[in-house]
Amino acid sequence: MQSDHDRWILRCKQASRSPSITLICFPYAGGSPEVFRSWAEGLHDSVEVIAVRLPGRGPRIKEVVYASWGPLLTDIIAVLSPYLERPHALYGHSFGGRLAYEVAHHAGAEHPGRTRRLFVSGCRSPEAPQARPYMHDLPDDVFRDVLLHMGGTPPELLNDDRLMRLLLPAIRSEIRLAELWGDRHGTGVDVPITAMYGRADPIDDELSMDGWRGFSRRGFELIELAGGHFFPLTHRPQLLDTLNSRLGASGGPAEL
Amino acid sequence: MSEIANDQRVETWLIGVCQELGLKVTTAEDDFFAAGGTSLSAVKLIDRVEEVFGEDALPPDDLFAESSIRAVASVIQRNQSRPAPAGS
Repeated sequence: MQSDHDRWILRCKQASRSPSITLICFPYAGGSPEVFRSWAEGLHDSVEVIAVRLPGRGPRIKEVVYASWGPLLTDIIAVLSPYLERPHALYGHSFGGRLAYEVAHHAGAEHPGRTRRLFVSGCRSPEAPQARPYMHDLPDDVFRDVLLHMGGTPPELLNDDRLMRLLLPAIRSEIRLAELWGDRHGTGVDVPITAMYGRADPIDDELSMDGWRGFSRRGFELIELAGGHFFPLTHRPQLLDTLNSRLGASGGPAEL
Repeated sequence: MSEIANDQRVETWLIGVCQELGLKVTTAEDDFFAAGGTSLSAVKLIDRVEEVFGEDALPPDDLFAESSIRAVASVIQRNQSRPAPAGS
């Protein structure tokens, strides 16, 4: 039986230079942590990369998925806590951006000063309304069609009925959590926020991400990058450049 | 051909397919997912297995339930409707 750590955490890259910083990555709804393995070569030597693996995919396919934020965050935080005690940054895309923000809140309370930066991409700010009608309660065939048009899920997967029967519960539950998510705290975090959006993203555009500025008491920047909603997959180098330049500045031992 | 030899032949074939999919698999003890397998690579693996061993030779449930190369090979042995590829 795998340990909790190994079920939840995929180690994507080790740091080969100190002082190091751990970049904790949260995938989009239904996304695989393996996506972040391919980042290893593009990030600075001082950056360790780990990614969170949620239930309902890969080796965790048989596990029950989460129906609400509370238990999901409790379990994620428990497994991440050794990493949150050390210097780290958080990155999440879309649903993963919401997770990263929630973890930043927890870390700010329990391990103040350890979170050097929060990166969110393709993720509306907490107070911004859900721009599109909910998709999480659509019937399976329509839901799959919407996923296909969003991109991010390979068509080979979406067209495979047997696999989709296994994978849909996780994708649907995470999209549901993402759609129902809002400002759970009424206050921001003491962490600088870098928010990034794809120029051609019809889902999370400039307007729906600009509100993040109200959720950091330590500085905010909004960056437009090329690509659509899944620009981290389609336009990876520009994203890694942004992460490298920010982590270079915040990864050292000095105070920000 | 003994059962054991046949098993090993399926394992060797599987290791080759996994490597083609870009996974770090070198022995029958290696695990498909631990080696970097994703849902997408699972689709590709299942497609390849069905091409060679016949339809339903590797039900997705079985792959997800136990995913070492050895376990996958024995599922294929149990379900195959065509013989293992010759040679290699």
